[in-house]
Amino acid sequence: MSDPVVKAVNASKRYGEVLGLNGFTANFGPGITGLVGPNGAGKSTLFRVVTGQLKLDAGQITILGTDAWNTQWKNRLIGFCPDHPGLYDWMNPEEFVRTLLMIDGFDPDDAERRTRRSLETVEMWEYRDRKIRTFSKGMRQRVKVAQAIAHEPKVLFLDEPLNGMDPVGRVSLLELFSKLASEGRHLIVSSHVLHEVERLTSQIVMISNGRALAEGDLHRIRELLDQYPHTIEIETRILTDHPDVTSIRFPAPDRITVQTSVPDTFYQNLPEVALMEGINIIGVRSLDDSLEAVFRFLSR
Amino acid sequence: MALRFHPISTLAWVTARGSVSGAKGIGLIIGAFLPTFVIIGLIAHGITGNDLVSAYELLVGELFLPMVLLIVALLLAVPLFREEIDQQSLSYLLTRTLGKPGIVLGKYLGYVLVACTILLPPVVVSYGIVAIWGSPPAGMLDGVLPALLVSTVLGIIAYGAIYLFLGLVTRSALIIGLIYAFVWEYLIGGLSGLAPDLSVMHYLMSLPALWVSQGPLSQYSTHLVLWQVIAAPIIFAGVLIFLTVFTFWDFGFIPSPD
Repeated sequence: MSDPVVKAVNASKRYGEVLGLNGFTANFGPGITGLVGPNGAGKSTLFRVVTGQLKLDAGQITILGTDAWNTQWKNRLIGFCPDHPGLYDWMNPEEFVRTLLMIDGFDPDDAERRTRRSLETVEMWEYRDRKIRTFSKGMRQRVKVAQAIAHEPKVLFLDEPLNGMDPVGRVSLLELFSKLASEGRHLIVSSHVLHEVERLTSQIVMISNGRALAEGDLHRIRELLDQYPHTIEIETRILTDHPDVTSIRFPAPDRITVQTSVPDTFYQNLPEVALMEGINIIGVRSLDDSLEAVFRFLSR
Repeated sequence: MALRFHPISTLAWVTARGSVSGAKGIGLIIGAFLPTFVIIGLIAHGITGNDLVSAYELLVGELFLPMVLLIVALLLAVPLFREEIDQQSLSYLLTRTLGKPGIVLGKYLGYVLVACTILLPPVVVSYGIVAIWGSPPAGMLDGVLPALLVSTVLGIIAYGAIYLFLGLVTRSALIIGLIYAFVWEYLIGGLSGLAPDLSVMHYLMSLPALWVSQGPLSQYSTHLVLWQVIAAPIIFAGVLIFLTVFTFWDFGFIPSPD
């Protein structure tokens, strides 16, 4: 098994009376890992700690085996796209990205090349001369992503990167993230919009109230939850007397929703039952196999 | 070439540009030239010679050094960290390889650059106007310009360091900075005995007193010698910059949880 890119052990961070992280323990990566949780769960606090902006009160977080706090040399290996809207508004995006690269130690020519490439990647090169203060939220998001990828980091921390993006922009950024991962980079992407993460990866860490609720493959996490009733929507007319079904609802005339405590057995037996009973099943989908549903289970 | 593109000098240059972007820069420049405008007004009203030189030195001693310099330094140095902390844009610098001492140094050097650019020209222009059009008596202005330039630079260095530090550690940096400027500096500076030694302004005013032989600036009372006058503000600034780096090193800048 590969070493984790980020390893957190009992990480705690307190803001006065408020706990940002509360004994957070989880491993991230390699590849794309989704960090999922509601607003205020501690996602941004975790990113700030991992990127060395905040010091833990207790516990430890390492990135690529190195302590995250006050180890500036490692910053060349990481890219950070924050969730807050703050940028140097008086600059244009070209100046912004180039300046950050030069502050990172790149020589001007190299910084120029990288700036152009990263702005082209996020489709912002044509706006390079416009002041950032005139940009929409989606354009600002792209600039933030551009500065995060310009130095070609090994690990990318993207805090709610799709916030404020239009649907087309979302798709192009999701494709970009997948491409970056295919190039061997590790991405940790946070979101409270669960289907976005689901489209990127099945590797997730779920966080709530500063604690890791679960981590790993989304479907495996779901398997761990078989003690809870599993909800499946079946597009058919009848399935009322199936022994694996514990409850049944009819959300639409041609659709039923059943709950089962033995989902694997249910899936295995369903084709045979349908054949024997002459039930015409048009489609089956697990309503619980979305992050939203899993998160609801785990939060209970 | 290497220095020009060093990360710290890049940050210093960006800091300097950002500090005077927009209306703030224009306002600060106009404010810095206030004593110059007064000098021009005095000449326009026919005041020249000994009276003009005295008025000029009084303006510098009572308006420029203790008011204009302090306020310009306050408005330039406090936002260096405070604005970035409030807007959370500091994360872009903290996730670079520059490091926290480099960030402090880059910001401070940027401040010194822009403060000198704003504050030194009024000193030179005011002096030039008095020297050229004010018909000063022979020898009246000897040593005034270098003394004022050095005092202004020392003030920029010292006040910038304390305001930079305040901007890092407190959200009320502007208010505390104003209290420091107009309560501490005035009250302590106005006391008798050794107490004024605790005020930066005492050193800034002592330098012209030691350097200039006649006129109001020469009459300022001081027991200090020249090396003390020059060294003290520099040491004061150095200690505060060290304190800023030390504080920043252990500093989680995020103001609130997500």
